[in-house]
Amino acid sequence: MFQSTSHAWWSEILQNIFAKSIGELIAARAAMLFRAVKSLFGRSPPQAPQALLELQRARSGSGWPREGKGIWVIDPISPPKIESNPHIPSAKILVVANAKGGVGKTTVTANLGARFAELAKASGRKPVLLIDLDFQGSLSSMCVAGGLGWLPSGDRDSNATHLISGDLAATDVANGIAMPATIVKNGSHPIQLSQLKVLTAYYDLAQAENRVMIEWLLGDRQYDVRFRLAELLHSNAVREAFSLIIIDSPPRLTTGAIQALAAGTHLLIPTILDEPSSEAVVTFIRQVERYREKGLCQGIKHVGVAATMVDPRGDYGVEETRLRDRLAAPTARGGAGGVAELLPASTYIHQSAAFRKTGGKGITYPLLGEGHIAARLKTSIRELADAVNREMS
Amino acid sequence: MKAKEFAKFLSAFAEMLGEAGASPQSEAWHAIARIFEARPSAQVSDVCEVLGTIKSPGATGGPTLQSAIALAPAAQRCIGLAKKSLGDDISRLAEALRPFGYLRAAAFADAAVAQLSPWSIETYVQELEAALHDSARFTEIFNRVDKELKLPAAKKVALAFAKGKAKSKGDALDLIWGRHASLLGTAARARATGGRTAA
Repeated sequence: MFQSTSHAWWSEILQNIFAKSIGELIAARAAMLFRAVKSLFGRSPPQAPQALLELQRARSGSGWPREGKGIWVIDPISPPKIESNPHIPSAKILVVANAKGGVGKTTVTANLGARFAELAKASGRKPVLLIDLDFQGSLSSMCVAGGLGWLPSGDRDSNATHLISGDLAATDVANGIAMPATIVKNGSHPIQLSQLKVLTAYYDLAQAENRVMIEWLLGDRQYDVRFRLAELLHSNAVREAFSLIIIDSPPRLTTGAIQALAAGTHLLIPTILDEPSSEAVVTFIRQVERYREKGLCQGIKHVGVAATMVDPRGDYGVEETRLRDRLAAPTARGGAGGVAELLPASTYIHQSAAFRKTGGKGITYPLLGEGHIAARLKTSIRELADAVNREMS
Repeated sequence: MKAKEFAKFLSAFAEMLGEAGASPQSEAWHAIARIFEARPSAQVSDVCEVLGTIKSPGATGGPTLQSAIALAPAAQRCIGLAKKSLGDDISRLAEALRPFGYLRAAAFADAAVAQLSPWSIETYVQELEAALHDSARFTEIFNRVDKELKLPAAKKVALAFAKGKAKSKGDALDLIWGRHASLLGTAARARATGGRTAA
């Protein structure tokens, strides 16, 4: 049954998942992969058709087929049982996410990381680990200044690819592969930032995310890919190595983003204060809550919504009010049901030339000077870190 | 005609009925006069329009509105000879009251006065806040803001309710309606998403 219709069948299924052209491309490869798996084992992997059937479009009242429930809520959802040492503090994993792009996720991740690293140094705590899960590598590039050493060499993939693929052992993450964050001051050599490390990502991650998902859909069910990162980051070795992990999530619900949500203990949603962005925040929260209901990210706690790129001279009363309305509105009326709140104005990250001027020199926060504008920016980053800390403590 | 002048006429008419010994009718017309005193600067036609939206009050004592309405055609014929516009207003009032004829005049007047009495800025804001998820009620209050408030008051309501600074009455109304509309948009988007996830 499968062989005779395989290409067309895969094409239809995958076109429902991806854009049309990508769906066609992947369909051919998926069909080949399936035939290869079948020839190896002599029979169909029993779970593959079932997983893919769950994605098929459903009948609807309109007469046109309707998209189904989505890839990431396919049953069974099996969170891993992690045997943890009670003497090691539980993991603190902050996911910085929003399905809308260009809202300042990476800037927030990097600057919060730098502030938390400063606090960790001052109080003798363990380092902070930043994880870049956006294949563009903006966080990686921002955190490792003064060279291109963070880029994977031609015959290797980036850390993030190995991370979501399940190639790494907990000890690799705890002890080896994370790079120290660096800044460049006054044109001198890179200076390492104390207590701040980063796991980098690059374009190979985009392929890895598709591959991991397809392998899983095809029946690689030895373990649930949605929880690969959770298993790793909640392991004793990683918990012992870092006081805090902050994940920069991509602006789509990719394999990496789903693994981040499943691993996260806390969620911070950066946003611009405008109408489309505030709509996107509420839609994103509703999606996260849907995942929570299904058991994918039951443990994640909302830290709140952080406003970014705020014009310090601007009047944002209207936008703040409308965002608060949407966040507070009952879910039955399309709102977020009050699960997350807009963080106070003192935490707003202002628009500032400092972000542009420090481009290529590293994370802005440790590079800020003494002027009035720098002081204001420093204060708001510290206030945001304090607000996050309060929620996480 | 202004409501204030009309109220004076209705009171005089009620006095006349009282002196003629038609006490129940006099009492009913006095009650109706109170309605127009509540919004003295409005036009009679505007007040009559609001009367159509009054929610039926509970029954209390006293004459019914019907006892007043029954005299309206005669009053209209008589007064209309001297001043046609006044006759027309009486006729308009009778039409507006006709559906409520079975109600007690005093209770109806109390409900109408409560609805017509000027609201403070805080009341407009509170009513708008309370109606945010009720489209019909919100529209009703929004229309009141539009009709009843001049620029300075509308600006104050916009600032308190929508946290926006308006330069004109149009701006103020846009801000007030915008807050409501944005929530309607959110609800519509959620319906379109239909519980599905973006992957």
